[in-house]
Amino acid sequence: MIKETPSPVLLDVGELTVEYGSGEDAVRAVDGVSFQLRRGEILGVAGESGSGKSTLMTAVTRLQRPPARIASGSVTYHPGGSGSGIDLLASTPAELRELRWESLAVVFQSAMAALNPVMRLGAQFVDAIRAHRRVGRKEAWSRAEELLDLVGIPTNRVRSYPHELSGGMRQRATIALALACEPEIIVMDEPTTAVDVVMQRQIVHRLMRLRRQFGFAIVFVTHDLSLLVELADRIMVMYAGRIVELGSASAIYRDPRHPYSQGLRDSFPPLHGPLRELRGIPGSPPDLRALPTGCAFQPRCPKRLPECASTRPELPLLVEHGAACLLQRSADQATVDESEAVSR
Amino acid sequence: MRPDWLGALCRIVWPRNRKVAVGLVILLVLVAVAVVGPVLISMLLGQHAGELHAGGSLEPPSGRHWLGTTTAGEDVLAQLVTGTRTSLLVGLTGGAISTGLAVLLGVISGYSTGKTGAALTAFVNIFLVIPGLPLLIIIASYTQGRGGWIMVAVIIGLTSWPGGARVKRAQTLSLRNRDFVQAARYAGESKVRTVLFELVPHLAPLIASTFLFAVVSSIAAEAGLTFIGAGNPTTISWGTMIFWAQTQGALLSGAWWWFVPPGLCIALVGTAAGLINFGVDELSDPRLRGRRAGGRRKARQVPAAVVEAA
Amino acid sequence: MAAQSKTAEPRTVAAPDQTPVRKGLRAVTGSVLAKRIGFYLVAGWAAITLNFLLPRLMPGDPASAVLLKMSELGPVSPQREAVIHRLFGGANSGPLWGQYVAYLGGLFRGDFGLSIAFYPTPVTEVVRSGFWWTVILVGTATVISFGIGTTLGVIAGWRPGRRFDSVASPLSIFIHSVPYFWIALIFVFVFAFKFGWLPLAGGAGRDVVPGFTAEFIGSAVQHAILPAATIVVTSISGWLIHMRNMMASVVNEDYVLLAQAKGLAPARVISGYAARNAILPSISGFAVSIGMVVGGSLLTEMVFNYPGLGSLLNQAILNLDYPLMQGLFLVISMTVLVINFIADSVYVLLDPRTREVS
Repeated sequence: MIKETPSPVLLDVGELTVEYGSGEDAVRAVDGVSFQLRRGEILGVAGESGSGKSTLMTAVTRLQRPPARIASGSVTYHPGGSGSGIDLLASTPAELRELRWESLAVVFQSAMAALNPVMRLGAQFVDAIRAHRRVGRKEAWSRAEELLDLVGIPTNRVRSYPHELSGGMRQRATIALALACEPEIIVMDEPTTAVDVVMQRQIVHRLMRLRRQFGFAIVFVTHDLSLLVELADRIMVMYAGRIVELGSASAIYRDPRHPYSQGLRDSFPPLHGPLRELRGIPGSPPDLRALPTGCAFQPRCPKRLPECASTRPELPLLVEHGAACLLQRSADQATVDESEAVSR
Repeated sequence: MRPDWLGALCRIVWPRNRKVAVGLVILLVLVAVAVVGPVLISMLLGQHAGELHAGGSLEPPSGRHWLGTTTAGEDVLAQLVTGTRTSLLVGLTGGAISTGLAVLLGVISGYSTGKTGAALTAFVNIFLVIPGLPLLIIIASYTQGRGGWIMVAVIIGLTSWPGGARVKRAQTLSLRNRDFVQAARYAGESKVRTVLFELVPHLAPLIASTFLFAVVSSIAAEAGLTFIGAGNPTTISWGTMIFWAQTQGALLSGAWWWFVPPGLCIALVGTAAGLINFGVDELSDPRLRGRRAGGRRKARQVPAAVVEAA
Repeated sequence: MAAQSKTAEPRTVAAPDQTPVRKGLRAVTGSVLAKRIGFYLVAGWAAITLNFLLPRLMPGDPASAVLLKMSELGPVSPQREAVIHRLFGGANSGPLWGQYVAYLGGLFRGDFGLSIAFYPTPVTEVVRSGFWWTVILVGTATVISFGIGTTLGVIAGWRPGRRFDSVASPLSIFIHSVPYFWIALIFVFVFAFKFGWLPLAGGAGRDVVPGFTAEFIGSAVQHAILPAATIVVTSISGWLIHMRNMMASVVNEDYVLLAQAKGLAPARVISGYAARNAILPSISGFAVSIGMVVGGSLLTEMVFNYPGLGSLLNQAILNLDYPLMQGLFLVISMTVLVINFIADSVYVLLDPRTREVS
C-alpha cells in the first residue's frame, strides 16, 4: 500500500491546539498537533480514551462544542489535492455547510446514538442528499437504497427506523450515509468499537473495498492499534493531546519506537498472525489538568530516563517514521555517532 | 475521587453555583421570618396579626404600618409574617406526606416485578391522569375546614404525590438493573435491605428535589384552596390574605398592598426552589450550563432580575 | 420542572437481527391503541369510583347536609331524597355494594340529582351551561401557550447560556411560581380597574343576547382576553422550562451533531432532529402539566367570574352544593382523561419506538 510518489495533500493540519474552557481553568486536550492527510490514504489515529484523538477530530471537522474551543493552529483543505487551499477555521458556517458531506463526511462511534431515532433510515439519507444535490424526492430515496445495497443492507430496510436494525446493520448504515455525496475525506471516530469482532472485520473489509472503488481518504480513529495495522497506510499515536509517534502502519507495528506505542501494540491481540503475549500499560491515562512535567508518559514509562521528568521530547519533523521520545533521540544520536565514527 | 470533607462542607454552606446560592438565601430568609418574624414585629413595631383596628381601614403603607392595613384595620405586615409561618408549615407537612407517598409508591412499583409491581404501576398511572386540584377541592370541601391547617396539609399531601411517584418509578426502573443492585440481589440481600441501602441512597438527590417542589406546590395549593373558600379562612396564611383581600373588595379600592405581598411571597418560594433545582441540574449535568465563560457572568443577573421584579 | 426532564422512562430497545419491517405495523399500532383505550377506561372507572367513595369515607354526613339545604329551599319529595342517598350514601342506605350498583345505574341514566346553588335545576344542565365556555377558553389558551412556550424553549435550549436563555430561563422560573389566581387579580387590577381597557368579569356583556351573532362573539372574545392572557402567561413558563432543558441535553446528542455534519441548514437541524426529539417528553409528560393548567384555569375563572366550570365550582363550594361538585369533578376528570388520551395517541404517532409491542 505504500506508494512510490506520495499523493497530493488533501488536509493540512498545523499546530492545532484545542482547549476546554478558557482562562486559568482551560484544559488543553489537543496540544500543537500537526499532520497531513493525503488523497486516498487511510490515516489511523490511535490512543487511549482521553488522549485527545476524538477532540482532535471534532476540531478538524469544526464540529466541536463549547466548552471545547480551538485556541490556535490551522486546518487547510485542498479540494482534490490542488494547490489552492480553503482555511476551514476561517470559513463561515454557510461555507462550511457547503463543504460538509460533499467533501468531508463523518462516521461516529455509536450508530445508535448517531441516527435520529424518530426518522426512517432512508429519510436521513434523503436529508443529506437533498441538502447538497438538486434531486427529486424519489430519486433521493432510490439513491438511499443504492447506498444501503453498497454496504450489504437489504434495500427494503430503507423504510425502517434505526431501532428496528441490528447493531451491525446500523453501523454499516452510517458508513453508507457517509458515502451519500461521495466525499473526498471521511473521518471515522471509533466506528467499529460498538460492534463485535466478527462484524468489525466485515466492516473493515468492506471499507477497504469501498475505498478502492471510490478513492476517498479516511481518518480512522481507534484505540485498537492492531486493527489499524490491518487497515491504515499510516498511523499516528496520540498521548495526552500530542502525537507521540507517526509512521507507516507496518513500521509502527514492527518497530514501535515510543514506549507507549509498544504498550498499545502489546495490549491488543493481532487480527492476523501468531498470538503474542498480551500486556497492558500500567497506570492510567494522565489527568490533563495536571500533566506531569517533561514527557507526559514518563510516570508510566518502563524505560524512563532521569531527564524524562524535565525535558519534553518533540516529534521530529520531516521524517517517515518518528517518535517524540528522548530514548529515540539518543538512539538517533547513537546512529549518527556511529555513522560519524564510520565515516572517520 | 476522595471525599474532601472540608471542601464538601464549604460547598454545602456556600454553593459555588450562583443559582443555588440565591435560592438557598431566599429560603433561609423566609424560614427565619417564619420562626422569629411574628415576635420581632410585635416587639419592634408593636403590631399583631390578629389585632383589629390597629390602624384605620385600608390605610396605605406608612411608617407605622409598613404594608398598610386591611379593611378591618389589621396590620398587613404582621399578617404577612404570621402567614409565612402557616404557609411554610402547610408546605413542609404537605410536602413531606406527598414525598413520602411518592417515594413509597414510586420505588415499590418500579422495583417489584410481577403482579404487585404491575398493579401499583397502574395505580400510579391512573392517579397521574386524574387532575389533582379538583380532587383536592372536593375533599377539602367535604371536610369543611375541620382540623385547621394540618387537615389542609394532609389532604394536599394525599392528592399531590402522583407526579413525584412517576419520576421515582422511572429512576428506580433504570437503577434496578445496574450492577450494584444486581450484585446485592445475587448476594442474597433481602428486598427491603436492597431497596433501603442500595437504591434509596442513589435516589436521594431526586427525592430532595421532589420534596422541594412538593413544598412549593403545597404552599400554592393551600393558597388556591383558601382563596376559593374551601380552606379554613380563620387561620392566617398567604392564601387567606388574598381570599379576604378579594372578598373585601381590595381590588376595587385599589388596596394593592393587601394582595400583592402574599402573592409575591408564594412566587418567591417557588423561584427559590426553581433556582436551586436548576442550579443542581447544572452542577450534575454541565451540558445544561452552556458556555462557561459567559454563563457565570450572566448568572449574576438572576438575583437582580428577581429583586427588581419583586 | 427540571426533574421532569429525567422522567422519560428508559426504553429497552430490542434489536433483533430480523425484525419484520412493515409487516403488521398497522396491527402493532392497533394493539398499542387498544391497550391505551383499556387503560383510560380503567382510569375513568377509577375516577367514578373515587367520586362514589369520597362522600362515604369522609367524616360527617354530606347527605344530611344536602338534604338540610334542600329542605330550606322547599319541600323534599321521597324520590329526591332517594337520589341524594344514592349519590352520597348516609344512614339507611343499605350495604355499600348495593349503593355502588345503584350509583352506577344513576350515572348511566345521566342523573346527577339537582343542584342546590341553582335549585331546582338538574346538575347535568348546570354543568352543560359552563362546559363549552371552559373548553373553548382553556383549550385556546393552552394551545397558544404550548405553542409559544415550546418555541421559546427551543430557542433558549438550542444555545444554552446565551443571552436569550440567561434572561428567559430565570424569568420563567419566577413566573412559573406565581399562582394563577394572583396573576388574574393583578390583571384585573391593572387592565380592568386602573385602565378600564377590558371588562372586569363575566363571559359576555349582560345586554348581549347569546347566539351565533357577531355582536355576541365579539363581546365574548373581549371578555375572554384577560382570563386567557392569565392562563397563557402563567403556563407558558412551564412549557418553556421543560422544553429548554430537553433541548439543552438533546443538542449534545450525536444525531444532532451528525445532522450538522451533514451540512443541513440550522432550521432543518432544529426541526427535524433536535426539537423533534426534545418535544417527546413534553408530550409524554402532558398529563402532569395539563392537570396543573386545568386546576389553575378553574381558579382563574373564579377571579373573572367567567361562566365556566371554575365559577360553577366556586358557586358549589360557597353553597355546599355537593351534587354539583360531584358532577363537576366527574366532567373535569373525564375531559382531562380524553385530553390525555389524545396526547398519548399523538405520542405514539411521533415516536416509532412506542409502536413496538413487548
